[in-house]
Amino acid sequence: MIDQKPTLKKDYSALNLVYVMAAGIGLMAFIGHWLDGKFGGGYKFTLIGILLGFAEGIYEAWKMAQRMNANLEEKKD
Amino acid sequence: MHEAFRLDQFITHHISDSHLWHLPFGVIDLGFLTVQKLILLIAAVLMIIVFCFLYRKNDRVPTGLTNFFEVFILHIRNDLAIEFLGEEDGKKLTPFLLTLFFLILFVNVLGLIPIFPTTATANVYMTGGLAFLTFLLMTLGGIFKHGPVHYAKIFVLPGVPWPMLILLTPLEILSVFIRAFALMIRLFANMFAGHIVILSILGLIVTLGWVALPALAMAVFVSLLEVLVAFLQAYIFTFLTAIFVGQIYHPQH
Repeated sequence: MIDQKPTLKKDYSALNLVYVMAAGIGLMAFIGHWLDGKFGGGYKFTLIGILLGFAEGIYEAWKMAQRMNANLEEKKD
Repeated sequence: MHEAFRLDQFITHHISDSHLWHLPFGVIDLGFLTVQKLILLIAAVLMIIVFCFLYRKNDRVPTGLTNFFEVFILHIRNDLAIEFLGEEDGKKLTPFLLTLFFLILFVNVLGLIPIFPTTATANVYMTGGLAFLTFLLMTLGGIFKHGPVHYAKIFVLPGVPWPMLILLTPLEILSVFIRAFALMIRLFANMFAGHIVILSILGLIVTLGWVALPALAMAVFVSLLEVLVAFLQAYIFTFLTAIFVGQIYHPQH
């Protein structure tokens, strides 16, 4: 039914990456901050949350790069 | 003596949700409703009127309103739902995606009418509710489709050595929450920021007087941009929902 597949749809992750990175760090930092407040751990959980959110952002960027490379290979073939 | 004009108070007063609806001819007390709830109700009623009474899907040659909406409906069904979810699941989830798209679109566009000081999608609870529906589809929908064991296996990447899996599996699980959270933030931030920008520009005229009158042209330009953003954000929310659910329903693709 659908023959045309625009590049945007295949490389959609780029559209989402910035928000996933920002939201990931924000959400995890917020959860860490809440845990710090609950257990009195200073900034320990906040820092862990920020690092985890950052790791998630980098992982998403890596997945996006992998997907884009696969698309390029597909186009070459 | 008049109190000095405070731009921050002017903006906060206009964008915050309230039981009092300020109109050019007076103030209406909405009682248990707020302006944002009212916009949501109007959008829901409009959707019922448009799609139950005005939209004639059985017309052989669609005309007028039916023709206008047909473009969106066909695009969402064919290029989003079926493209990312497959023929079977795509057709099943098309009504959900269409409801999501048109609800966000109607609410966004209603917020652009000058009699409404704000819009319902500029409320984080509203966008959070919509993102939660997507989250439920990604989790409960996935469990319902694959079964609990197969669903859990989606987060374990095939062909990856086990020491890496210890690191990557929690990140994969985390990404489900973060994607839903990003959906919520994106729609909220875009709709909220648009109104703040317009009010900031208009506030310049009040602060600086006639010198800042050219800022009115800028406000009109940003308002036109807001029309584009209203359509774009409704589309992006639907588009990403289809992709996220598609990744759970068909992880091999």
